[in-house]
Amino acid sequence: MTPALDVLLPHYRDPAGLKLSLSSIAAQTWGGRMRVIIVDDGSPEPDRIEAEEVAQEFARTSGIDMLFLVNAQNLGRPKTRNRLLDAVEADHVTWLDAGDIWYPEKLEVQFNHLSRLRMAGVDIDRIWVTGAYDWQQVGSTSARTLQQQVQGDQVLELLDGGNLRAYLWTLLGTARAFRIAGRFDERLPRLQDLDYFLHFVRGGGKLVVPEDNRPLCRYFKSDIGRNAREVHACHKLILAKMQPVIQTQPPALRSKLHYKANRLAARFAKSNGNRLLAANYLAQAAFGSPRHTLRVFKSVLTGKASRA
Amino acid sequence: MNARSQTRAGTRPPRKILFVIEKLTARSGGAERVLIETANALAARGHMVEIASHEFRHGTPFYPLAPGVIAVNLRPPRRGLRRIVGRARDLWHKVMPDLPPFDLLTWVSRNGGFWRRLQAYIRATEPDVTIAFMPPATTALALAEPGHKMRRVTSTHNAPVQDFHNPVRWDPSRLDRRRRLRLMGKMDRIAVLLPEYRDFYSAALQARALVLPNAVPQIAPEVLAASPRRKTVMAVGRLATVKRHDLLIEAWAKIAPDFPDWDLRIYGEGPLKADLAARIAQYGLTNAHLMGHQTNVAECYLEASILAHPAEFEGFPLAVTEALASGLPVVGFEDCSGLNRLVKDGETGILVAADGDRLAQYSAALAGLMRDPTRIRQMGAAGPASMAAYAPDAVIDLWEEMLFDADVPRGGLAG
Repeated sequence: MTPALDVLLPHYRDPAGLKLSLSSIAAQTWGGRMRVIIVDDGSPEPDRIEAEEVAQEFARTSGIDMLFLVNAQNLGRPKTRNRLLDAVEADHVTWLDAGDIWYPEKLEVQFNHLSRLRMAGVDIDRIWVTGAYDWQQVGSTSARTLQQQVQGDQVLELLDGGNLRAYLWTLLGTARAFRIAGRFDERLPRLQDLDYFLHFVRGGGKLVVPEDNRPLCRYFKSDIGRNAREVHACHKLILAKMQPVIQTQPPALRSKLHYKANRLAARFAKSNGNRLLAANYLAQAAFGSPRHTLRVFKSVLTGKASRA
Repeated sequence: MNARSQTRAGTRPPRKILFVIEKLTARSGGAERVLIETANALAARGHMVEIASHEFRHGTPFYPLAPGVIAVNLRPPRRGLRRIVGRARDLWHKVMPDLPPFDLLTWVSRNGGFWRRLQAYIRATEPDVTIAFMPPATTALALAEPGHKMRRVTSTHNAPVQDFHNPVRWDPSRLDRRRRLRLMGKMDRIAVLLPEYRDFYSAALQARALVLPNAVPQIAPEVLAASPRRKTVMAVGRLATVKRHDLLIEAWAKIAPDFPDWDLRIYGEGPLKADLAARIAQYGLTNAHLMGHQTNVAECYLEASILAHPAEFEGFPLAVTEALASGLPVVGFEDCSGLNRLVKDGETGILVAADGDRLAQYSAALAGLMRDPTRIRQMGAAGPASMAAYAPDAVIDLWEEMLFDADVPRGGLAG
C-alpha cells in the first residue's frame, strides 16, 4: 500500500542524531500512513551499522514503514538528497535532517493547513507549507523561535534570508509540488537548500505558513567543521545563477546580498577558528559592498547610541 | 516521485535544459508558442527547464508556463545611465554605415550583450543542453563559451532563405547575415521544420540537421463530428505584411456580394491592424471582422468552414496545421513555403497558382470552395489524418532524441 507521506532523511556519521530525529517522527500526532526513507551517505562502517540498527529499532517499535538505503561512498548531501527524491512514491513529501527534531504536532498542523487550502480551492500542487521553528546553537541550552515571513517577493526574501529561510525540515508538500523544485544542484555541497527553494519559487511555487504560528520543529545549529571557503563559493554560485533577477533590483539590495555572502563565510571561518580567513571575508564584505557596510556601521552606531 | 519514471521511455534521467530566445515577454507568435509548449512538455517528462530571453521589456510570457519551468530575462532593465547609453547606441546603429569597420562596431554593440550575458548564465547554471530559437539567439549561443560539456542546438522556424538571406529580417547588416550562417557550424544539432529546409545547408551541416516539425494537437473524432460548422472563412496570424491579410480582404470584397450568409473572421494582432480595419471600412464590408487575439482560437477552428491563408512564406504554419487537424480545408498559395508541404492540393485544401493575377486566382479559388459544401466536407474530413504524424507525444519523443541521444536521428517525423 502506497504511503500518504514519505519522510526523507539523509544521514552521515550521526547515529545519535538519527535516533533523536526518528524519535520525534514516532511521536507525531498525525495518524496517516507514512514511510521514512533514510539514505546513509557512505558513513564509516561502525556509524553505518549503528545507524541501521537505530532505524530498524525505530521501525519495529513505531510500526512505521522504513527504508534504509546506503551510498557505497560519501557522495555529499546534494547527491544524497537527489537519491532520496528518486525513492519517493507517496503523494506527500517532507524532510528531516539527522540531528534535528519535529515537535509532535508538526505534521498534523501542516496537513490541516494543506486541507484548508485545498477546500478553499487553492492548487496545493504549487504549495509548500513551512512554519516557525526553534533555533538552537549546539552547546547552548536556550533556543529562539523564528517565524517564517512569507509575504512579499519570496525570491528576494529567500536571498536576503532575514525573514524567510530555506530549511527543508520545515516543509510539507505534495510530491507534485516538490517536482517544481527539480533536483538539488550537485555542485553545491553547501547551501543547496537555498538553491532548491529558489528554484521552487521561480518555477511557480509558493511558500505558505499555517495560521497557528507556534514553532513546529527545532534546529540544532552548528558551524563546526563547515568549510568557509566552500560556503563562500556556493553562495557566490547561487548569486551568479540569480544574477538576472538580482540585476533588476536596486543597487542597495545588490550590495546587501554580496555583503551577506561574505559575512556568512566570515562567520563560518571564525566559528572554525580561522580568524585570518574570517578577516579576509570581512574585508571583502567591507570593500566589495561599501554601501551596505556603511549602512551596517550606521545601524550599529545607532543601536549603541540608543542603548547608551 | 521517481524522476526517471516521469519520462515516457522510463530510461532518460532528468536533464537540465536551457531554451534561449531573444524576445518572449507578452509575445504571442508561433515560435514563442512552440518554445513554451515544448518546454512545458519536457518539464512534464521530469526535466529541469529554463527559458532565457534578452530583452528590455520585463514581464511574463504570453503563453502559460507549466509548473517548474523558469523564465529569466538576461537583459538588465533600461534605467538611469543604461537608458541614456542605450539611446545613444540606438542612434549609433541608425547612422553608422554598413561598411567596415563601422559594421563590426555596430554588430558588437547590437549583439555583444546577448552572448556575453548568455555565456555568464550558462556558466552559472551549467545546462546539459541549450537550445536557441531563431537567429539572434543562435548567434549568441554559438559565440558563448560554456566552460563545461554542453550540447548546442538551434531550432529554426522559417524557411532557411528567410533566416539567412532576407535583408530585412533580424539584424539587417550584411556582416550579421554572413556570420549567421557561418556560426551554424558551432551547433551540434540543427532542427529544421521540413525535409526540404535541410537541403539548404552544406553537407557538413546536413549531417547535424534533423527534421523536427511542430507538434499539432490532435482533435478527437467525436469532437470533430459534434462541431457545428458555420459559414465562416477564418484567417489566423499576426497582422503583418507577410501574412497578406490585405489580399484576403480585397478578395473578400470581390466575392462577398455573392455570399451574403458567409462571414470572414481574421484572428490576430499586429502592426497592420489599423490599415486592415481601414480597408474593411473602405470596402464597406459588414461581414468581415478583425477579431483580435482570442485565447479560445482552438474552438473557433471547430466552428468555421474554411481557413484562408494567403501568406507569402511560412516555416511550419501553426494556423494551417491546427486548421487541418480541426477538419478545415485550407486555401493558400502554391509557392508559400511550409504551407505547400502541409496542404495536399485537392485533398485537404487548395493550392492557388502563384503565377498571374494572384488576387483574381485566390478570389476564384476561395469562392469556388465556398460554393461547394460537399468539397468542403470531403477536404475537411481528410485534414485530421494528414496531421496524425505530428501528434505532440511523437514530436516530444523526437525532441528528446535530438537533445540527448549520441547519434543524430536521421529524418525525423517528416523526413
